[in-house]
Amino acid sequence: MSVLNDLLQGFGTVLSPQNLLFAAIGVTLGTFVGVLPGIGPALTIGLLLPVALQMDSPTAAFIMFAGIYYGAMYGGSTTSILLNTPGESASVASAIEGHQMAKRGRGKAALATAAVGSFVAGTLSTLALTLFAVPLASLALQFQAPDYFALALLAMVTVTALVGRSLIRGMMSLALGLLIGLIGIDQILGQQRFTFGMVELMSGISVTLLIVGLFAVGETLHIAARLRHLPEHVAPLSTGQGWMTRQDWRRSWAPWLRGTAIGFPFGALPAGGAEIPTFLSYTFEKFRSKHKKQFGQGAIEGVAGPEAANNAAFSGVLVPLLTLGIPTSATAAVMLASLEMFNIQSGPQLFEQNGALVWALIASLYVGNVLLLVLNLPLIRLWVKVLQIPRPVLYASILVFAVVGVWASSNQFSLLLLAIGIGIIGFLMRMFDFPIAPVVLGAILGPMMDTQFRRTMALHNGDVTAFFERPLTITLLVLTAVALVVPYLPRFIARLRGRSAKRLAFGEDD
Amino acid sequence: VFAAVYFARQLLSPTRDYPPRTAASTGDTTSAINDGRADEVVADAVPPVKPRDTAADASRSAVDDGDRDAGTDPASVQWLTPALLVAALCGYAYVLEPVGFLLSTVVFFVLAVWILGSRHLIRDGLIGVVLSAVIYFSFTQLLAISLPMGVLPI
Repeated sequence: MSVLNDLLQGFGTVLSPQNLLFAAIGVTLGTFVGVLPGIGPALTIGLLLPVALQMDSPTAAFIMFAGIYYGAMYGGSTTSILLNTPGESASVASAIEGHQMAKRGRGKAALATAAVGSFVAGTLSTLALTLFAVPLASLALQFQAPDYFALALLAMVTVTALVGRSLIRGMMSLALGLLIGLIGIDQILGQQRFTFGMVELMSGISVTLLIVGLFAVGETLHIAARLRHLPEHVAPLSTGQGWMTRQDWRRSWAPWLRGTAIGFPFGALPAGGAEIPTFLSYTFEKFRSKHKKQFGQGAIEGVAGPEAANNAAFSGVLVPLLTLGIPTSATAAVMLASLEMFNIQSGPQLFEQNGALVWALIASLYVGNVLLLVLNLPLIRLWVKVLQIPRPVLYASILVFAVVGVWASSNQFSLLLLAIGIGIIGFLMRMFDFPIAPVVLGAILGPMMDTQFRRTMALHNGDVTAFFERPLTITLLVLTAVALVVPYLPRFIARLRGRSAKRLAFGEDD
Repeated sequence: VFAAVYFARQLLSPTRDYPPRTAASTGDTTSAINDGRADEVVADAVPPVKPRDTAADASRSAVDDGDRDAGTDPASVQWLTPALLVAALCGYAYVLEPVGFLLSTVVFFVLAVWILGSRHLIRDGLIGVVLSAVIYFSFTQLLAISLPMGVLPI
């Protein structure tokens, strides 16, 4: 029963007034950025990193970060339903039915099923995380250098292959990320790489700078380029409409559970966060539903399932992050980078060396879920107000925060320019439909992969067959190859049948 | 390497990655942006076009609008707004240290808001003053992160 003990201790940490305050700040901030179209949890955490480093305990910082991630998931659903502009990509699926419901005057019911579904899924999947984390971490202790290399490769390739519409574009983004990740002093020999003799580049491009450039500057420029074409209309929430009717509950509970069941394992696999399970859940509910005709016109199952999958996937993402130190989404990558900033060794040792931190984090997820449920439904009018902030004011403020964030972490004019430069690259990538998430993953996982590869080479005297000696390594490499092929399967099958079909693709992670 | 593979594939069968667009957008001109990697062509489905220097006709740039970006109409992308914003950002970064955070932020904010299309100068000025003051004092006093003081003796 040591798990229960640890968890209770975690609750003890979280329920202290200071940490509870940070959890509340986190979920509020997260909901806020989730509601705002265009900024996501990755950017928020990236901007908060310099601030968080000033805090005395990393535990409080991580409780806040987890709250931001979770809150953004809740907030994103509000924007999708009322504005039909998904605040973050994982809510694209719920925008389909949710906005239709809102247009038909059932906005409150849609918001309620999203919030309650998120709560149910969040709690259940956190329970799953509690149960699976320790066994997985002990399994992960057996991982050796070649396994880590294969695992990092798998995470990168799956995210790249499954997110976005074109494999080649994803690979190009990934290559850019790997290149950025290699800048700086090499971790094994201490050589300078790609620094061009510049002192500023010796310590590499920091995560804050990369995230701020790509997400804050890039996204703002992207929005500026098509400012006049954004939907401004917010679906009204009339006072007359009620929350969920008894029938809504009856039609929602099963999709919630199914969404959780789909979301958690997909989040836990190194397969790119929440987009895939939300779409899977949507398709599945559509297929299962007795009300097939309502789909496309506001079927409540189409909101309940994906929203549950969305939140369940987040707890899933934490499984590889906490046990293996492998991030599977851009936000998780930023959280991993912040662990490193606090000098906390990520990977399987995390549970042994920083057990208190991890269990407090897990306990904070339970608490955060309750906070979010309390925060979201009664305060829905406030969040609708947030949606009405004038766009120019909003995006100009984001730019100011971006500059402050970079300045606070570096104090250098040249690095500000570098962030703007990265922002321009991010903007062009967005304009031409290159996915952003692989860049972040490449930049953060790249150095680790590089180190593990060279460690393997050093141990085996440069013999590449070291990667094909252990069954675990081989399995991971085979999975990588499968991930490369999977997106092409529907088209291949369609070609066999003489029909054309779209490539399997999902929205992009922010 | 990826760029080369991509380019080769584009030449062989330009329609592979991009299903033909709907009638509304097939008339658009295709163009490549020349940002040093000329082979990253955003090619239209019909007809296949080779990359060319298009700094001049950037306004007609075609963007492959994905399913998720229904708002990106190729013909209507405005390149001037982001360009002005970048210029403003660079200027902001440049004057931040000599002039100081408080003043430069207010000026930048008003400028950026104006570029982004707002025309309420007084309201935006007020927001800018409040925003920069709140950030400055919360960072320097509460969080002990230093921001450039500049010409104002605060």
